[in-house]
Amino acid sequence: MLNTGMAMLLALTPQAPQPTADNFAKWRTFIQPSSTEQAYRDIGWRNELWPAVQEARRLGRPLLFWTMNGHPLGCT
Amino acid sequence: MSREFVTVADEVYMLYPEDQWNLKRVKDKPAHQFFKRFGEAMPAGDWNHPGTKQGLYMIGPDGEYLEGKFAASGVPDDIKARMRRALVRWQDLRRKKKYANKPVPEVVSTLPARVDGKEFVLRVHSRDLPRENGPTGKRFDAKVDAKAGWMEFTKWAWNENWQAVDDWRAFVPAKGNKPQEVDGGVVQRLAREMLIDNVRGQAGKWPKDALKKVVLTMQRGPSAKGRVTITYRGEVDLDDGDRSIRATLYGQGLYDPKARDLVKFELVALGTRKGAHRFNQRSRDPGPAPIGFAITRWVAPTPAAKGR
Repeated sequence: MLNTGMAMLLALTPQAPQPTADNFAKWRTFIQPSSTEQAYRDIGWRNELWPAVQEARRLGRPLLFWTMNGHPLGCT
Repeated sequence: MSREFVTVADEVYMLYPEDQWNLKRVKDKPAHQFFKRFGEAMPAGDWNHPGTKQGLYMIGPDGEYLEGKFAASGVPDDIKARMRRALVRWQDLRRKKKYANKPVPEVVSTLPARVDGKEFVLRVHSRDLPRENGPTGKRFDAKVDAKAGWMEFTKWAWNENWQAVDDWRAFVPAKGNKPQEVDGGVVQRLAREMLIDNVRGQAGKWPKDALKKVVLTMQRGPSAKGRVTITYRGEVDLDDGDRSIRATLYGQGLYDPKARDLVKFELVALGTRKGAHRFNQRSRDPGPAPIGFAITRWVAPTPAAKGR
């Protein structure tokens, strides 16, 4: 949901807005994910399968493995 | 979840490649063999073979099947049910095999391996900007959107990317108040690797000859508490014939001369994207349409930090 400030900015700008000292922080916040959108980072993800397998074996614990084309934690 | 499982995220393509040439390269690697053995113990329909192995899998320490599903991300209730079943199966398995079942240590979510531990890492976000009559600019609303079809994600998609910059000192201007150009090689790499329209899916970096115009200037401002303020301004024009991005950049930095560290680096690029590339799902929405990028230095939180 756009906040009022952002809606006013959009009303005053053409299709591709220009970043300036005045609106920079608002656009940065708009583009960056909200805490809800990045909730997946609240989970303590290790970043490589094989070392995690070694850890699971040491602990005698199961793995939860999330895998994608392109690293799920970014770098797509 | 982090207390029950050793949680791990990793790239799948080179773990279980779909093409024979790459498969040959990895077939003897222990991680591939471990994952393959697990997959072959899964029920038909949950393990996708031949085809993509993207998904969510619950695996015993020796590769035993607990649960899992390829391409599982679209149905949250199904994932929850599978995790519950996995934990029930785990209780049986650990007793049978006498697994130690020691507490899983709390860890902070790491970065992808290729940037993890690097000195200066930039976190790059891209997002569609609102359009007067377009489908984008929407934010995910769990109440309304949780059961939407998977392609609906394009309405609220955003992307996160990470890049390490070894020559970050190029973003620190020499003494004096006049605007200075940031080293061309550094700026070109920033444009080619970070200003990519991957809001909705994968797209490759820009080829060198796509750089039509790339300029970034930096200027020292007043110091505050011993730290030098820096302002960045720039412009990019990227076009490889199939896709283009034209954007204006503005940013701010904070340099600590005592620590010789660029403690804050934040850039915003706003502009217009056009065309499609690889798997970025733009063929049905080629634009031109507004797009935004936020590029900020990543500062690792301490293990105790919450709400990242």
